[in-house]
Amino acid sequence: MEEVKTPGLLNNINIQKKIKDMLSRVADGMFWLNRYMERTDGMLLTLNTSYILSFDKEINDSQGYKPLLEYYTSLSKAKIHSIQYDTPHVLKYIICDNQNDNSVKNLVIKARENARGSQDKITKELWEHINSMYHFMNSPDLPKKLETSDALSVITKLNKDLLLYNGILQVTMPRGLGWCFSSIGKHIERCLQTISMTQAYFAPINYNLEGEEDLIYWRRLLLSLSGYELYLKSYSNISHNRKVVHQVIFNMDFAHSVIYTLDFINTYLDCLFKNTDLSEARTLMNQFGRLKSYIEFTDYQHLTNQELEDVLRNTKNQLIQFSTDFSKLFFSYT
Amino acid sequence: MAKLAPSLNHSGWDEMFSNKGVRDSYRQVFQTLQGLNHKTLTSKQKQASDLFMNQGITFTVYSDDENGIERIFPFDIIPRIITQEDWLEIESGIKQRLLALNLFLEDIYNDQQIIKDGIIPAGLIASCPHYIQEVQGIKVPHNIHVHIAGIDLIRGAKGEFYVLEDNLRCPSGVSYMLENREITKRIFPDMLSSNHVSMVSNYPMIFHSILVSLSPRNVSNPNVVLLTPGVYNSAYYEHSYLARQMGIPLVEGRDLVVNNSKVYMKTTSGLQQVDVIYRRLDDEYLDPLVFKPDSALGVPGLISAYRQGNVALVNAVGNGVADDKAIYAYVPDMIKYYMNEEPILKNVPTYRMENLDEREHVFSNMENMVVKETNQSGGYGMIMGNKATQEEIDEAKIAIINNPRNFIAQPIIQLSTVPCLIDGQLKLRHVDLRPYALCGPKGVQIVPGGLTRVALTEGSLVVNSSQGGGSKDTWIIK
Repeated sequence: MEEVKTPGLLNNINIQKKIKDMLSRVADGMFWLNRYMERTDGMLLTLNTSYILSFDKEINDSQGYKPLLEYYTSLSKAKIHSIQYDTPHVLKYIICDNQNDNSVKNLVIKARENARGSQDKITKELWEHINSMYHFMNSPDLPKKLETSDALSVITKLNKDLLLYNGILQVTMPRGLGWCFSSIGKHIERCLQTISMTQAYFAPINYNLEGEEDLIYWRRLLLSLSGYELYLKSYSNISHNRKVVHQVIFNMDFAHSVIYTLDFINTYLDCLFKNTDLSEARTLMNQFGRLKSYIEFTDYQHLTNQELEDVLRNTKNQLIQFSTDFSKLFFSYT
Repeated sequence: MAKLAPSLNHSGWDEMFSNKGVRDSYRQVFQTLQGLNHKTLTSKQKQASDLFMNQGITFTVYSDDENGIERIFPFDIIPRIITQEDWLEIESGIKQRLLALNLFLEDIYNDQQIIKDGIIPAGLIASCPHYIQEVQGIKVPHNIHVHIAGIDLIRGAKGEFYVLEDNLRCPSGVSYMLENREITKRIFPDMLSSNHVSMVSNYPMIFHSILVSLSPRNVSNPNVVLLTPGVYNSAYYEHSYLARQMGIPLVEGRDLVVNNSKVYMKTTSGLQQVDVIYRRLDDEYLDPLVFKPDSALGVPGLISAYRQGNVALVNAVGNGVADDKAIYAYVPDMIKYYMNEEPILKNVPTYRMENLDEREHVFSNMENMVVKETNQSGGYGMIMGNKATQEEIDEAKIAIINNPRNFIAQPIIQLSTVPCLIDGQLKLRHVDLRPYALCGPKGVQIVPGGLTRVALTEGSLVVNSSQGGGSKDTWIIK
């Protein structure tokens, strides 16, 4: 249908309508830019936590870097077993190893590629920040620094860069379609991280909700998800296992909890679907509604060990499936 | 204080210094520079380089290592200044030239009256690789074929301007003109404001309004897009910069589809018709159904939609016939033929190698000649007679004899020089100038400025960025 020249107010409506369309390729780029940056952020937080806690030698640490390596790399179990306490090796492998597809360096390169492809839709400030991270990751002296006492300052700088990225994203990006795709990508990634890291700490104790693991044990998980301080403020200091589950899955005040991230995704899906006439949108909305309801209507008080394992596994699988179907609907431009 | 008096250019024109000292136009700049020491100047140069790097204004050099190295296009912080009087001559000369070239393209793709009247030989057009038979008879909006042109100018020994090349297909570099000014604002804010330098930042707005005016559909907000080859193209930064500055989508060939001879872009809410495409793809990559069948960069069916008038392409297809180096020699004749005027800007004398007398003259004066392939650009396919070895000259002569249509020769003109900051000192380097002219239904507009390209190697006359050239901010002072 052709538009017709209209004066005054109607003209503005036409202008507004145009902003609500976006190239599928660019939407895809913004979605993945934010998935990669969120993955980098989560990985660096986990690395930072494990690295700093590795200095406390008196703590009985049965896992070392195992949760980090299991979720964020594709290394074999045997290889993980052999390096899970080898700090220098893990630092290099996670931060700047070219062979590791998920190293910070490779993730930043991939994020920048997506940013380049979406450069007309992201702000100058955001582009310049991603670009500066890219140049830092490619600086020739970086691997050497990781072998010295400068390693911690490198990790700290990268953590701050990710915080800054999130700030620039929030402050400078317009709240249009691009923002919706960015936010959905970011929160899908965050939700998957929360579930996977939770699995990494509950699996070794057989998802025992009535267990007696102390705060030292849970501190690693909570720090990795930026939720340690909130936990201390929100829960009494005895029998932690079930409370940790509440925080990481059901706490609406915790920005990394499963329910919070799903709620966030839901908000932006609503926004997207308001602007689309695609018939498949309804099906996708229903699919996501079932996933969110699954968490919302899980009875946390009477959750059993087996149910916890099932909830985490099923939610993860359904979210991965949702992400695939979401991409097919909006990004199938080839 | 920096050593500010470089060895003078006795054999040619220097923009800053005459035999009597500093030219009036440079007096303020020279005084400011005199007040800065080596350290300050070097730190300003570094600041400029860092700004380019941080903004991603880079190109990638790939080596054996699979990861490319990001490099910036060198930027020299000392501005190049052009007086208002000189600018008026440039502006009127380019306007005249562009009008004639547009008339030529309209004629050559329709009635070919200029051939019938014997001004240009038919064989020269027919043998031009950039003459596109597929668009013969096409009617383009407002009869405008060249919407954006980057005319390369040089200055001779007496300061007179010559047109070296007409770039009428996808002229690049305008983002550097704009970014160079933004960098100068940061490193020399006082010097910039005290010299009353003309503004260039309105270029994207002028260009955008021209693009909108070309829409074939009578709609209030036509869809205008910029078509790029993609993120791996060396000019991708410029493409994204211009798209952002004009607020138009930056599309790749895979984002577009042709249906029923109309072009659509694939959006998250379905297909949207596209009205105007500012394409940064060369003709031969635009449509695999018409040109290179193995190219994945273009859009199948695009030329069909274009021929039917359902989409406007900027620049028009087939403009290469007008900036072919052999046809360049006829531009003064075109101006007289179409406009009945004398050319305001001179051509560099050009010898056509198909003409036996001219070829003989060139062969006996090779050391004073530059020989160029007619279908090459970017400084490629060029032999400087005063630098080439005897073996290279002999090879060039054989190539010319085998395919004379493929070559022209021009006397070597010592380009003008401008002082550049090199290793903390001012040294003279050769420059050219590329102003950007925009042509729309309301006429030709040229933002007062341009891209000054610098041959950074001492004594070199090759300014192309692909050959190690750099750039300078260009000031037109009021």
